[in-house]
Amino acid sequence: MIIAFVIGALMLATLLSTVTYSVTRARLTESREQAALISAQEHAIDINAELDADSDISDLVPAMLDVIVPEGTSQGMLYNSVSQWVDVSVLTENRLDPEFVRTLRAGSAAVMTVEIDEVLHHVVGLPIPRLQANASYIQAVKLTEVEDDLNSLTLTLVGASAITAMLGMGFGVWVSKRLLAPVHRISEAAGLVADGDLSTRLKSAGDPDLDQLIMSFNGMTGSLQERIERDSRFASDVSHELRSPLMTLTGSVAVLERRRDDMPERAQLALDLLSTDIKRFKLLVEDLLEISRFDVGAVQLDIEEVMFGEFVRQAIGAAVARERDVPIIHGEGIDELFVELDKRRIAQVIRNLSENADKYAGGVTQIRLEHDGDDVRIELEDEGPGVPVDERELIFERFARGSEGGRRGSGTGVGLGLSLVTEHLRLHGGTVSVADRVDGLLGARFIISLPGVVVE
Amino acid sequence: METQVLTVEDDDSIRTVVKLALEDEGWGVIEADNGEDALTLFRDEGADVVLIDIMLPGMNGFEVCRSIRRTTDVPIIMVTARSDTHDVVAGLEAGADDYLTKPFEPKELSARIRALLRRSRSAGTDAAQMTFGELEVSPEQGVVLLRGDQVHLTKTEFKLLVELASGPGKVFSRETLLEKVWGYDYFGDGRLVDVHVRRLRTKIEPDPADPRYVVTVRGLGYKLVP
Repeated sequence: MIIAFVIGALMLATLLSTVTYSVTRARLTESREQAALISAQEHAIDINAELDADSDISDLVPAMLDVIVPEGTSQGMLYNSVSQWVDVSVLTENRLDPEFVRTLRAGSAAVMTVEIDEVLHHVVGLPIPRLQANASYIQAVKLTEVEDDLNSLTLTLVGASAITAMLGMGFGVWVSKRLLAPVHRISEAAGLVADGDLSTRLKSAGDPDLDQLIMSFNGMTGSLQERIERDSRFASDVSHELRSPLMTLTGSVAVLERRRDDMPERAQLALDLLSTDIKRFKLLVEDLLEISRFDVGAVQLDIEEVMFGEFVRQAIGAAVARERDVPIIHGEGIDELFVELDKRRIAQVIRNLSENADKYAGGVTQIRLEHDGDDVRIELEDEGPGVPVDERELIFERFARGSEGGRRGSGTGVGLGLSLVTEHLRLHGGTVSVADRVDGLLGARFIISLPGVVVE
Repeated sequence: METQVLTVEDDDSIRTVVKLALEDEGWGVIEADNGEDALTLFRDEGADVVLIDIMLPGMNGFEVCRSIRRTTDVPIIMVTARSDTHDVVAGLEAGADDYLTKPFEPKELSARIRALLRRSRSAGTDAAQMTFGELEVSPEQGVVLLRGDQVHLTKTEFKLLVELASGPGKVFSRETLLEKVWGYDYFGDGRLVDVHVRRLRTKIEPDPADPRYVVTVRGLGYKLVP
């Protein structure tokens, strides 16, 4: 913003300076030239007056010498045949424009400008009327005064432009402080709200227009906060309402199971059904509550530093049956790698993917760990039928069961497992995707990507 | 003498089913459905383990916990409805030794209670008395002295200190401490360790904000500086 002011001021100043300079230079030059012409004319007349009907060429120079000219003026006589100068230091015939000479010899006055020794000279040539022999009086005047004037003008203008630019900057800073600071405060506050601090409010700025904006902002943030708190409370109430009866159900089933052996067979059957479904129901409720927490935004990351390889080993160990030993291949640099992540969530991710593999692909057969700078990847491969390319995005949607998951009895859950995986990873800024196996054989490869988690 | 468990839970069904399950384990159960009654009951009849639901009418579970903690180091388990809210940390800071999230399997509750009772019965290893600076730790007697004055630690805090003291200067990871002190596996809740370390520091450190004894080793865990 300030730069805009500085550039604007500078441009304006430059424009003014250029115009001023051009006009002044033109006027100065013009007036000097005018003066030079008049001076030459006067001298020419004086010379002419000294001559009479009997004079000839040899009288010209003495007549010229009689005329007093100011310093910096050179004089000379140009005859048709030859030129002759008094002040030798400056002009010589070869410095005269051919055009200039031609005009003079034709009997007319002529002017020209020439630079000699880096000084501009204005040259006037006037024919002397009294002589039958054609002769012209030539006077060359240094334009140093003009040059000097123009130089000091240039300096002044440059100085003035610089000062204007600085004033522009000063003005810009002032504007920035007075006018933009409140706007920045507001956008900062908006940023805080977006990051989650809903208690952010702005104080009045003392300016009626800004205060209007501030009031709207505070009002908006207030209702946002209320709404989110309401949603959160609702989610919390719903959570409580679901967990309590589940607690009773779980506890009662446990008490009954202790006495299973004393039950008649049919009761035992009923108890088994109850037990299985309550376990399934519990998992379902947990998943639903978790997903709704994500929706409401009531989720937090609980970051811990763990050894990457060890963590994955523990996670898959907890997810699969004890007898199964899933090989974990460490990529380069994985052995000593430490990462920062939410243990519970990423373990859940690995568990969900493992269970998904159990359900549809006979289980995870291999895990590969890779890292690329600060990013890590966990790849879980199986030897199942793989995931068709057109389903690879769909399977991560809520309640999606893939083409294999039609029957209820085929396992736990209603299709939230993979969407929870997506949500847990998104909290970490990570992603999940499914691809073909690295070796190209039949099966799926689920790729968990966690960027920026490596600890130095 | 039979182990007595005090349960503080306002939901009748849950309270009943928990009573049934705990009695199946051979423990006696006394119940309260609100905080004030719970404190009265505890004062009059005592208990070996206390189970407190944080959501209570009137006085909330944290206050009950703090109240009980003021006078005794009896093992306390908080029952929370959610595991990822600040309830867990608040419960632990109020003095709980462990927590469980509803709905839990009664088997899990029994295991937690057994672990806590074990902690009570045998105060620690049969290691000899150790001294670190102004701190004297006697595992056998279950006593900790700071500048000669006895420090009142809960059984869990004591067990944590003894565990750290078993390897002075050695760094213990959260996972190790969770396993040794609470009996949890790799995925136990690290906050149990963190909050207990904080509580320990407020009791034994001259300046809890700048610990001299129990020091955090960033990224690795905790250690006791000899």
